[in-house]
Amino acid sequence: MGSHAERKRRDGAQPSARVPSASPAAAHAHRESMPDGAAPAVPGLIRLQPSSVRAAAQTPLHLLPCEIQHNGPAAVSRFFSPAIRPGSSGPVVSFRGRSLHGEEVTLPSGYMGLVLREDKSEGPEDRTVQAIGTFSCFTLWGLEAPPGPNARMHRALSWPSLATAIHAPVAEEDD
Amino acid sequence: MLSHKKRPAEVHCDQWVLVAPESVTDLPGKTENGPVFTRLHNPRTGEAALYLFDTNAQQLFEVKAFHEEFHSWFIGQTVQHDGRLLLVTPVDPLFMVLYYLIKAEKEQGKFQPLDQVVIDAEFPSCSMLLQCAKLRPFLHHVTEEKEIGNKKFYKYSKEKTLKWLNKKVGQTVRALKIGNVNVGARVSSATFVPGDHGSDVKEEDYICYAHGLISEYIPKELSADLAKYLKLPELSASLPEPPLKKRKVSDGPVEAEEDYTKFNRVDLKTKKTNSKMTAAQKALARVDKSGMRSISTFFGTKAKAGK
Repeated sequence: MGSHAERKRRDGAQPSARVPSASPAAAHAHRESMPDGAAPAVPGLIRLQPSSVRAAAQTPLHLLPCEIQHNGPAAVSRFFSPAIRPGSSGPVVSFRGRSLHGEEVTLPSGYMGLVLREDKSEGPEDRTVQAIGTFSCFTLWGLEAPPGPNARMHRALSWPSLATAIHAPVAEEDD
Repeated sequence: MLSHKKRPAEVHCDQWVLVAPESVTDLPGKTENGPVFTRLHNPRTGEAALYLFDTNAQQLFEVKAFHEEFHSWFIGQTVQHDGRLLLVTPVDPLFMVLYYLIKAEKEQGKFQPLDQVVIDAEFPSCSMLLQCAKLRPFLHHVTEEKEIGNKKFYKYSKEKTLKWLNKKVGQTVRALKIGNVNVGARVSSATFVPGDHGSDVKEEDYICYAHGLISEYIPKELSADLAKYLKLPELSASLPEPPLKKRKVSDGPVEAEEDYTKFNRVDLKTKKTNSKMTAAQKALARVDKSGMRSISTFFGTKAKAGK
């Protein structure tokens, strides 16, 4: 019966899992902010570019149980992927001295994963996002233990089917 | 290696990991205008939230963020600090239009053409709702209609709306049962195990839970009316209510555990001070946390049950 606060504290007790950024400079590389003043024809639309979705390749994704203070290139296939080895309950990898236990998570049927990136080259009046990768599954990593059936991710991924039911039109009747 | 302590919100990236229906992402070669993300009002609060229209705005979807603290992504040969998973799921456009119908009823109280009801200077793309295929054939569930000449005029009907919402609750209850969702408010096992119902789960628990889920998409007043209509014991007794109320009073990142919108909140707070925010981040900052509430309600059960 862990209370909200307890759960919070437990999570809060993990900061040792925070990993220093490999390249702090990259994290600073913000783009210049766009002036909001220039009103687009239809304000506030961000278009997903269809050709980018067609061109996007399957990409391996890992959701890590730690916060990495960095955005940008990482030598995943050099240092992370080769270290993955089979364990009794699934893949295991040692990452920055901590043991991670992985689990393959498949997206709900009828759903597809996209990695989207905003393309800033065209200016604020024509905002677009590009798909830079697709996925139909990813590896969910737990810290020191496998995520298991109670992982909140599994509940999250059961939301689409419930949402579909909630938002389906109601059955017509003859009244 | 440098230790680099930064607050999460300061590490920005214009990149998102998103899960969407294949109907949205399946874009044949001829498609020129793909799906669009846009801000619309959250039908419960009226605040901004992030939505998506598919190609030609035939269908509406909401974008919800699933986020657990201390998570980051490896994506191919890159790392993404933001460990959120965005879920794109369908939304009944009738909920969105209902919000404006109720508003019009309060302000004008007369029959009006729909394009005069669904107008919003703050959310100009709300007019796209009128293109949704699943809107017009279902308007009669929530309105009285009049046809003069070739033009249709609509007026909000609370009576019809409650009937409609009752059916919505019914279909939600069926889905909860099929999905084996643990709806028991006071079930001692705090963990969600598919197929493992508490045997003491009553029909009322399902209705309460469904009412809570539906309430994410209707104004509070209507939610209270619906509770009465469903003869629910006490609104406060309905399962998802406490986390909502709690979330309202504590606006800080304290609740991170159950609050998938923490990043948005943080963005919101740093909006004025962080001049380096990009337009996308500003847009996201404006995007409402409450738009992401229904999913947190859905997933909040575990914590609630553990109390």
